[in-house]
Order: sequence, then structure tokens, then C-alpha cells
Amino acid sequence: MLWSEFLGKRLLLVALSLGLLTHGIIVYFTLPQTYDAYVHMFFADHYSRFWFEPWEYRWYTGFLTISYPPLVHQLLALISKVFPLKIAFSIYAIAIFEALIIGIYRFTKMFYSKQTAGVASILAVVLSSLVETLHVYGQVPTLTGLAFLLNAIPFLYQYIKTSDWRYLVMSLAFIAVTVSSHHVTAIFGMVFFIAPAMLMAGVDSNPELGKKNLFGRFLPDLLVVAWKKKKEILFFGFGTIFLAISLIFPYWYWSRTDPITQVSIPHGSRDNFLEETSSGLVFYVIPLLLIFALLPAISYLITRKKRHLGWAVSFFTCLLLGSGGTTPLPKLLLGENAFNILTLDRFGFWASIIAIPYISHFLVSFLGGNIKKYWTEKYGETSHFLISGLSGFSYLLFIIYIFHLASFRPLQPKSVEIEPIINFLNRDDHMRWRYLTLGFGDQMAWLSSNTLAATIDGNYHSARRLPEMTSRAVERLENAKYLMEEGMASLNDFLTLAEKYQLKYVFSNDRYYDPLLFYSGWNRTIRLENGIMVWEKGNISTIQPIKPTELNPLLKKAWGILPVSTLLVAIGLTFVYLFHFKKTQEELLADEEVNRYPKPVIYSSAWLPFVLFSSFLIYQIYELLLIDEQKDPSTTIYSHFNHLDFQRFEEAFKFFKPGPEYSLDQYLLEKSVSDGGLLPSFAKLDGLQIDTLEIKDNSAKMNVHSTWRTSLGPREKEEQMNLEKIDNKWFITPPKLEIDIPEEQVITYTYTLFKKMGKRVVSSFPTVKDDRIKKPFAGFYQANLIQIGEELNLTGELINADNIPITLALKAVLTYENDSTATFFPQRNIHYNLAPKASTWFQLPLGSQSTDGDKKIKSISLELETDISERGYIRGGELTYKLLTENSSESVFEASMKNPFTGEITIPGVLISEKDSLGRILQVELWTHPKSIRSGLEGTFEIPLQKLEARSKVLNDFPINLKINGQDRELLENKPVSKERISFLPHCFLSQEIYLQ
Amino acid sequence: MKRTFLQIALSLALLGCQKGQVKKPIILNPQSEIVVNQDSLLFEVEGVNWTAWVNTPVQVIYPQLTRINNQITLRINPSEGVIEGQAFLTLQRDENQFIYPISLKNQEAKGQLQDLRSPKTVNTDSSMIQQQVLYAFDHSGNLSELEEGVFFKENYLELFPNAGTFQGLTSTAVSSFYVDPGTVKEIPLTYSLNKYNQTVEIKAGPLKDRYNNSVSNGTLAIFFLEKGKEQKRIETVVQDSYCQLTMPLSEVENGSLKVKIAQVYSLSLIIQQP
Repeated sequence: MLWSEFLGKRLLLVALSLGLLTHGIIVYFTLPQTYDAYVHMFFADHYSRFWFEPWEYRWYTGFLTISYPPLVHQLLALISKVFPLKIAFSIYAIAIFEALIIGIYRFTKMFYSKQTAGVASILAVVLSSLVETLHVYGQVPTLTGLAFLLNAIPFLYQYIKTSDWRYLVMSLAFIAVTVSSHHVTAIFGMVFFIAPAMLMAGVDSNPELGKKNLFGRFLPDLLVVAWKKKKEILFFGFGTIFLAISLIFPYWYWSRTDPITQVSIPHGSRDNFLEETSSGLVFYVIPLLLIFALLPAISYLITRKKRHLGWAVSFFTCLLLGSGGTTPLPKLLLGENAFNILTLDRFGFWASIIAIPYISHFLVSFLGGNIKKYWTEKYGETSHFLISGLSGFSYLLFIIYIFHLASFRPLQPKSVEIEPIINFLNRDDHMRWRYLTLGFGDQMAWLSSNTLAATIDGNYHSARRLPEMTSRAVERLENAKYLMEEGMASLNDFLTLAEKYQLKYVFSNDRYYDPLLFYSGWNRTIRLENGIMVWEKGNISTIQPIKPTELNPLLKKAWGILPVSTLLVAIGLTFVYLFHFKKTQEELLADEEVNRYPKPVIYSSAWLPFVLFSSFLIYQIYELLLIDEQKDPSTTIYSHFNHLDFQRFEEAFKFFKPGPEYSLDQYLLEKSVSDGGLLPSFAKLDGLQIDTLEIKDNSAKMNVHSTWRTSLGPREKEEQMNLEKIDNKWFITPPKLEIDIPEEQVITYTYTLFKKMGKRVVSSFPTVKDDRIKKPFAGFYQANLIQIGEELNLTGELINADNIPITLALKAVLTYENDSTATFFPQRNIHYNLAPKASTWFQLPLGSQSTDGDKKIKSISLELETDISERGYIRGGELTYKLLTENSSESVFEASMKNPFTGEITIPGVLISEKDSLGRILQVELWTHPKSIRSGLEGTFEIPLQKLEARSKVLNDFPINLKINGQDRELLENKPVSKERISFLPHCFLSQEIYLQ
Repeated sequence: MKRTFLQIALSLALLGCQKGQVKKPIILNPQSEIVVNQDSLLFEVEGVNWTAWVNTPVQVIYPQLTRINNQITLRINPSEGVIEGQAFLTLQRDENQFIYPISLKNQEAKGQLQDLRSPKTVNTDSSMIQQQVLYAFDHSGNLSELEEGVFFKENYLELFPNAGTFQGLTSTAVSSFYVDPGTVKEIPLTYSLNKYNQTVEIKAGPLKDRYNNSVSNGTLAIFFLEKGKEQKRIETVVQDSYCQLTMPLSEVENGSLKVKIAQVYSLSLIIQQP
């Protein structure tokens, strides 16, 4: 017998060693790619710095860390006092995985023999759900909660069975650690383990009960047994409730006083897995494939005896709840609210844990027990060896796939070196403002762990309380582009309301956001050594102190002391138990042995693992390597666009008809001169609609309608493509490109560069009075309150009256009859940077305002702050325009813009203003063109404008007070010479700005 | 009886453990102001093991302490100067501390003159009056007298409207102040035709403010060209009092051209072949 030599604890030792060798080696390398590891490290960093202070100011303008049970984070903090944080996390993860292996060993002993328990412990090392939880999710609190729960359950079982109070103490000691580690395990998970364990102990302590008919005497007699054990059940129940409430009381207090009222954040585990197969793969197939492969054996074993009844209910319920939105049943069972808050993959995870004893028992029998005997007698030793080997080998390949899941399906952006960012934040008091990261993924939490600077974003959405975040289904601002309109709207709010949150710096790792940042008034300052672009907004106040949410000092002390104490107590009691009280484990070890399995169970459970795992791997290989991307015209176009979208130009080129006249060099050259602008450079493909215009055996003509997401809003493009079929593969006919060429061979452009000298006196004092730069002069030419339907806008024109380039911040403060105020900011309809003596129009949307009562507007204050720009600003090329068509509601202009600069105009744009007959500005609008204009060339486009004159009214009911840099000002005199009703100002984005070169 | 005896013994033991009261040192040469590195303070004290230190608002100074019989002499000798004014001298023996308010003064030190101008930059478009504040600090950061009893001087200066960078009285880089040119007064506009390559060079300038200062380099100038129904808008910047651009004759011929800087427009110019 294979296993007979390695019974019980020897197998456990093997499992512990294997766990150390596999997870121990790899965890340090997988943790940067996990979803949650950095978040837990951030919390650990909090406790490392402020152990007894639950207020964490670095995210969301501050939140309470009592919103998450602290034990894991506190232990990580303690280890991090000796080791660097990432290593501390790895050490902790390894330690807890070892504790989990021991827990699974002890847990399985309740069900079957020591030999089965030993196999279970080895299975734990390679169980896909556990591997995924650690190496893909980085969810160490879940593993900690589970590890101690599984160690508590056998004590509970023994207590109910023997009524020995020492087992009660031990079980409660371990439950206490579980409660202190993970709230979801404590609230939802424990019930799936505690109730079945009690039932099992009840049945095992009364062997006759197990023989009763389930629908006959069993249930009434079970109630009688429960009544007899009422003292034990009540002691344990009340003990658990007492510990759960008292140990993490601040958490319950926080939940009660500050309930989660935010809009639910979508999570893949709630998807319909048949529709969203990628969610199904990550949240259901990967963690549960082994369970599905051995479902016949598990189902047989779990329903075979009454002692397993509770486990059967838990297992199938968890399996059902883990299926997310595939069926309506989970929502019905959990209720709308819980369904939308919980991540349902946890239930599948718990199902996989419950299944471990049954899988192990089947494996013992299949690899060295009665099933093996049956199989070898019937089909021979070789057949058994082959099927065992193939199943095991394919499963191990499947596990290796999970270890490397992040490589196949990148979960995070590439690693960002954070030291240059930290140096930047430490320099020149940059920490006195908030920052925001874009395109960092969960690494934003790692950055936060390494700096005391505060970000407006955060990575723990339960703690968010800012209305701009909680009113939308936005997990993080950092990855706003993946959250569609809601994400971008939320990001847009924060970029516009930067002053409200003292947000001054944006670290961008994704140029997708560049156009939005630029048109929202952000300026690029420097590119750091790690390639991160720093954007800055001028005229932002330093962080205002926010009063932390108060917590009773006693609760703060309890939060810092009690959770860690539970672990110390559990460890202490374990030693006392092992050396003084541990008796024979007769009452724990089950003598259940299943010798005969039904043939369908044997055959299905023998073949299914191999079939499922190998099919899974083959499908993955096919999807990665063998899929025919040129089988038909539509697939060819789709694949071509897919590669283009991910900037894989060589791959994209392979879809063009091969031939000497169109080489990769030619393609890339043509791309470099013809491609550029909002769509090719700053957009993400959203959808493709491919229509067949004409199709023959060997040729096709297709119409491609593509929709793109850009940070300035969705864009659409329509083009026609011709395809040819060669050797059974479809190829796109390369487009004939007629490229404009500038006449000049060398272009010169003269521009005055500016340089703000910054602090000249080398002093760490923030203010050296002599060295302060004055606030630049500016003035308003006009300011009008415009009503369009129910909506109000504040429009006008202002000028940089100084001799230096400036950035400006404009806001309107509305004071109502009840003396309350509201502040409004312009969005994109303004130039935020002005060259010396340059002017701009502006429009601030005020929304719909009440015309009577307390909320009627009393006065409006239009406040302008100016600051010297870091370097300078060019806003566009030579603009020529003429009216093309006009009617009462719309004017269409034909415009052309010539690029005289030495770099391309990346996004040609204009600011359009419509004026009334008195020259008062009625509306201001930004218009952008999707394609760039190369140096020395001209771009031509049509600009439509919906006219508002007929629908708008200039209101003179409220005084508009003007303030510039805190001082009251009057309008400047300006007599318009032109009678133009619609005017244009260039407003272009130059990604290679002259002053940045 | 036994109990009474025990109570007495306990009381005696307690009294035996109590240390004697330390007498407050008496200052023998009280002074209204102590000049550091010069004056000494003399105290009459009882017992030994006296220590002393002086707290100023920003520093702790340990004076040199010498003891002869029942007198200690304290001499405050900081290596650098002190923040002048109120300080507290603490004398300590065992757990007894005695605090004496004193007033410190540095030995004669010449202050560094500071010349603050407000506004630091004056634009000829606005008032040319500038406030000057003069004061002096010694090397320890104490305000020094400019004249007898005068620590600050405030002057209102009317500056000449000549643009440039000017040094204050201290001649340091940080004390410089600036007169900036104002908005252009008028925009002379001319053009010349290059008949060989059929281009027109349009020049605006010299661009001067009302005090004849050259308009700042980098000032935005916008050329507007109206030709038929077509409007052209070209932005350029002033360089050395001029801004100019060269355009093909075909684009500008018979067009009406004007230039705008801030709210000032040039006269319209019709470009024609001679």
C-alpha cells in the first residue's frame, strides 16, 4: 500500500514540508500581482506607525481602520518591525498556510482516519481554491480566519461529544482568533462549519441516532439529543457571541454608527457565469474544478450517513451561493442587500474546504484502497497507474497555471518603482497636498504604505465616505477607465473639484487620462525616473486639518490589545493542552470507512478529473496559441483591431495581405506619420460592429464601425476594409495611404520660454518672505449669468494682464437666502493656462437653482486665483474658419488649423463662444478633433455648434461680485471690435509640448 | 501600650527617612539685564551638587558654574549668541528646583539690514508707489536698532517708470525689485512684400507701453485676417518689441489685417500689391 507507510502525522509532516517548499518559495514573487496583498500591507503599515490610533488619514481624507478586524494587520506590523513589509507579508502567509494545513488535518480527523487526514493535509497544499486565495487574491485574513476556524471545529466536536469543558475553552480560544482576523468568516462562514460539526458530534455521541430514518425518527430524536446537550450548545453559543462582540467591538460599533450606504460596487463573483465566462473562470471554475471533477464521489460520501447531513447542507448551499448571479437563487437566499455587498466566491471557497475530507477519502481508496483493488482486478495495474498519473499530472499542470495566472491574464499593471515618487513627495513640501495615482493598480496601496503623504483615492471601498465616490459604483479612481462612464465621471469630479480636496498632484502611469487631465486644467511638470508623469494643478490650498472621527480611548486601547491577546492565549492554551491535557483522540478520530462505492461513482470520479483538467488546459492552450484568427473576414478584422488596441503592431501587421509592396517597415512608417491624436493614442477600443458589404469566395468588403472610450468621452469611427482569401486565410488589403508632406525640409518656430525659478533661498522654512513670488495680475472683461431652460451657467471672459504665463483657478460661490453657500467650478470650457496678455472665455455650470424660498440665490461671487505657470504655454496653431451653413439652431463652420510648431498638435481643439448682440457670452464649448496634425501640415474639419441664443436669457437679478486673488475687483473696460457672434480660440493638446522638450 | 510604642517607632522611622528642606539660593548681584559672555550671576547657596541651566524661548544653555564655599558663580557663555529678552534660570539640587526670571542680552553686534519692498513687482499699468520696510537682524535673529530706539523704518517710494530689475539697499539677489512694462499703448502695423517668393512680411512694432518701455518678450499678439468670408487667427509672441509673421501673398492679398494685444487693437491694414 502506497500510503500505509506514511500514516497520519508523517503525511502531515510531508504536507507541511511541501507547503513550505512550494508556497514558501513562490509567495514573494506572486504577491505583487495579487488583488489584496498591498491593501493588507497598507493596513499593517498603519498599525506599525499608529498602533493605538485607528484614524488613518492617508486615504479618502481619512477613515477608521476599525472597519476591518485588526489581528492579521497587527501581526504583519509586528513582523515588519524586523523584516521589510513585503518579506513580513510572505513570512506571515507561509506561517498561516502551515497553520491551515494543520487545521485541515485536524478537521478531517473528525470525518475519517488519520491516513485520510494526512492525505487531506497534502491535498491542502495543492487545492486550487487555497492556491488562488493566496497567490491570486492575496487574501491572508480569509486564510487566517479559516486556519483557526478549522482548528477550533475539532475541539467543538469533542466538547459536544464529551462535555469536557477543556475542549470548550480550546474551541473558544481558536474562535476568538478567527473573529479577530476576518469579519466575513466570523459573520457568514462560521455557521457553515459550526452547525454541521455540532450535528455530527450529536449523531456520533448517539450511534443509534444515525440509524434512524431521516424522514422518520431521525429529526425528532436529533432534537432530543440537542436538548440533552443544551448546556454545551448554549455555553458554546453564548461564548462565541460574547467573544465576537467584545473582541472586535469597535468594528460592530463602526458598522452600526457608520453603515455602508454607498452604491454597490460590481464584482465578478455576482455575474452570470454563463454570460461572463471570464468571471466564471476566475471565481467558480478555477477554485472548484477539482470539486466538480469529484462531485460524484463527494456527493456519494457526504450523503451516505446521517452524521454528514449538516455538511451536505453546508456544502451544497455554499456551492449554490458561490455560483453568483448564474441563477436567481443566491439573491433569493441572501437578499438583495447582502447579495450586492458580499463577494460570493467566498461561498465556493468554503464549499471546497468542506469537500476536502471527502475528496481525500476517495483518493485514499482510489490510490491504495478498495477502488484500486477493484480497478486493477478488472483493468490491470497499468491502466490504474496511467489514469492516476494522468489525472494527477494534469491537475498539477492546472495548479501551475493558477500560480502563473497573472502572467496569462495580467491582473495588475506592470510593476512601478515607487522610490522616485517617494522622493518627489518628500521634496519641497509636496506632502502638504493630496495626490492621486492613475494606472497603478493595487500598487497604489504599496505606495501609500511607503509614504506619509495622503491620496484622495484608496483601496478599501467599504471605508469610502466621499459623496463623489459613494454615489457611483466606483471602487477606485485609480482604475477609472475600466469602470466605464461611472468611473470617468467620478474621476472627472475629483479632477475638477481638486481645490475641495486639496488635490495637487497626479502620478499618471497611463496616458489614456492625459487629455482629461489637460483639459481639466492640469499641467505636466516632470517625468520621474520611473517613467511616471507628474501632473500638477496650480492654486490649490494645502491640506486642511480634518477632525478625525472620535473613538473612546478605551476602545482604542482594546482594539490594540485584545485581538493580539487572542493569539497569545490560543498559543498558550495549545501548549498547555498538548503537554498536560491531550488524551487519546478516540473521541475525535472517526472509524468510518467506506469500502464499496457504486460503479457510476467509481467510473465518473476516475475519469472526470483527467477529462476536466486536460480539457481545461487544452482550451487554454488553444485560446492562447492555436485559435484561428483569420478563419473569416469578421474574425480577421476583430483580431487585427484587438492587436492594435494593445499596441501589438507586429501582430496587427500580420493580418495585412503579404507582399513585397507592403512591408512591416512601411506599415510602421505609415503609422508613425498618419497615426496620432485622441483615437489612436489615448483611446481604448470599446466595441466593433462589422457589417458585410460584399462577400465572394476569395474577397470581401466590410464596413467597420468602431466605438472607442476616451477620457474625453466616447468616440466613433467608421471605415471600410477590403479582404482577400489566400491559402484559406483572410487578409486585409493594406490601405492606400496618401500622406501630406510639409513643403519645408526643416521647420523653425520661435517661442519665448519661461522658467519659474522656484525657491531661490535654500531653506527648509516654507516661507522666506523675500523669496515669494507675487500673484500675477488678471482681470475680468465680462461675467454673465445665463439661464437656459432650468439650468444656470456663469459665462464670461478674463485676461492674464501680466507679463508672465499663468495658471488660473476659477470658482463661483453662490450664497443663498439662508446664508448657506455652494461652490461651483468650471470643467473643460476654459483655458486654465494663459500666455502673457492672453484671454479666455469661461463657462461654469451652476445647475438648476431654486427661484424662491431659503435656497434662492442671494449673491454670486466669482473668484479667480492666479499663479505663475511653471514654464509657459502654447494653445494652438493658425486657425482659419468660415461659416459653412447656418440656421436658427445650428451653425456649422469649416475650419482648418495649420501646425507651425516643431512637434505635432496631438489633439486639435477649439474653444467656441456664442455671444449675443451686445457681445455678452451666452455659451462656451470645447470641441476636439480625433486626429493629430503633424508639424508643418494642416488639418481641416467641420465644427458644428448648437446655438442657444433663442433659448437663453441673460439674468441681471443677482449681483456678481468679482474677486481676484482675494481682492474685490471691477470689470475691465473692453470694447469689442469684432461683431462676430460665434468666435473661436485654439485649445489644443500638444503631448510633446515645446517647453517639456 | 505595645500598639502606642509601635506607632511612635513608625513615626520616628518616617521622620528619619525625610530629607531636610533645601534653602532657596539668594542672588547676591541682581541685574536687570545680563550680557552674555560678559556678566556673571552670584548666588549664596547651602550644600553641594548644584546644577544650573537657562531656558530661552528656543534654546537651553548650560552656564559655567563655579562654587567657592557657600557661593556659586554662573557665567553664561553660549558659543553663539542668544535670543535676547526674557529667559529663565533654573538652579537645582537633588529634586529641588529654583527658577529665576532673567533678561539676556548679546554683546554689541551689528545687525544685517533688510530691505523689504511691497509690491516687489510694479507694473507701469498700475501705481508706481512702492512700500519700503527697513529693519535689521543680528546673527542670532534679534532685531537690532537702526537708530536710537528705532527698529523699523517705513518709506513710500515713487518709482521711476523705467522697466528693469533694481537692487534694494542691501544689494542682495533676494531683495531686488522689479518694474515691469505695462500694456502696449498702440500697435503700429506695417508690411513689406517679397516679390521673389511672393510672401508678405507683416510686422507689428515697435511695441511700447505708455512710458516708452518695450513690451515684455513672450507677450501674446494675435493677428486677425479677414478675407472674404474667411477669418484667420494667428497667435504669435512679442520678441524685442516686435512681433511679425510671414505669409504667402495669395493668402493675405486684399485681406483686412489687424493685431490685438490684450484689449488694444491696431488699425486695420489692407494688404495690396504695390
